[in-house]
Amino acid sequence: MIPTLSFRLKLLLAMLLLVVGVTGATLYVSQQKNQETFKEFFSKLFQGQTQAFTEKQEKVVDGIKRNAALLVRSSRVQLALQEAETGDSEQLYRIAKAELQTRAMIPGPIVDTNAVYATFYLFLNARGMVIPPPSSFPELIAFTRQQNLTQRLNRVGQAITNVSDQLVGFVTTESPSGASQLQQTVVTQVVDTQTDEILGALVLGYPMPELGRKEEGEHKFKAGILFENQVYSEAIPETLRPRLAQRIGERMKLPETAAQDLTEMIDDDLHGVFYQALNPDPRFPTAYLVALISMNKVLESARDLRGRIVFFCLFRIHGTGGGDRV
Amino acid sequence: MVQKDYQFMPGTLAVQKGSKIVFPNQDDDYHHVFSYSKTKEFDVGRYRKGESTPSVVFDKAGVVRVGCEIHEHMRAYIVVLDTPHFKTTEPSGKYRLELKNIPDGKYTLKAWVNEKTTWEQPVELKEGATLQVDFPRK
Repeated sequence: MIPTLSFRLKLLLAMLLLVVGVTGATLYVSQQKNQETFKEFFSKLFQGQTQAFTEKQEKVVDGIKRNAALLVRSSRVQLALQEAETGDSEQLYRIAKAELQTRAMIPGPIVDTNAVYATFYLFLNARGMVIPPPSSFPELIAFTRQQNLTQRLNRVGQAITNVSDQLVGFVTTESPSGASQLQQTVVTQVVDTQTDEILGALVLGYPMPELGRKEEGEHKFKAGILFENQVYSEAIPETLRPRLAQRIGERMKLPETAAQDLTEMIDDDLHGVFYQALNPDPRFPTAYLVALISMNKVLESARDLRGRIVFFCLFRIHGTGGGDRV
Repeated sequence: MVQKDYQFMPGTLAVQKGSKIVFPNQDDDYHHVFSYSKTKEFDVGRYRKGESTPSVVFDKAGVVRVGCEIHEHMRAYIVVLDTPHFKTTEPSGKYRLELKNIPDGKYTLKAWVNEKTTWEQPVELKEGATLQVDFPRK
């Protein structure tokens, strides 16, 4: 038999249910809103970082492009490139080295520790193929022996034969220890100043700057570059890089509506994963800027909000009970 | 081969092997004539009008690309030939090659247009005879 409840008790229970219901709904809506706000905030934060990085890189690349454009106008370079077609590239690389040193694009007799120097410089012929450096340039031969690099440059070279602008993209090279290194390359066509005939192209490779760690206010960043299924970063733990590359690769295959937000744990700290394409030029493989942003603040904030709402709920319930005693 | 109004004149010069070519500067500015061609590699350095005129002997047959280091648009060709029997055409393409002291027989007539285009045609020469040989237009 169901005991009969007094009107006051029923009212009290109804009020309790109402308070719990409203609190629950508030908690849910607030958390959702909070999550959305933080998602938007992090997204903006990442966009800002990407933009800052892109702008900084563009400034560096613009300087390289300007210098390269001047260098390929040199009549010595143009005439030597024409002679290299006959099979002797000694003159060409000797002149290019001197010109690059004059413009402080590669280390010369005086090395500036603050300068950004090219890792390698190579020429492509009029058909877009890499001109092998002579035996007196072992430092360049070390690069042309890397088949992946020469094949990539040959493909790019053939793709730009009819384009007069400069191309910027990414390639990978191997260090003497066998480690893969990411290089930003600037490809500048060499056009005969007198006849406008395409003589070939100059390829300059520069090491990508380490994006590393950054702190934007209270938010900690760990950034790197994803290129051809590999993450290049000193800041992102080495053990995490392959998994991160794989997970981003898998996510990219999904339609945007089905894709879930990516997170990773680093040292018991939850990080949101953000990425964005850097170079839209289809003649080079796409590189992505990847950032891991600590979500600790989000979690703290969510915990704080939850605590406040629950406290308010308890306060209301206590208030309801208190009213009963009056 | 003169440098005048920031150009080489003539732009293409044919000479017989062993010829010496002088490079007078008639501009009020420095010029720096050089070549990396395997036929003849040379670099005469910088000089101005009035300074001693450099000269180079071309002792090997072939094509020599010439440039000015200071003025990158300045280019010229020197065509060094094994034969004394040659002629540079008029700008319209007309030419008249008078051959003296050459025995009758079969020869090849070659026309050098530029590095990528060379025409040739077999000819039979007879003393006192005139031949008309037309090469295709570019």
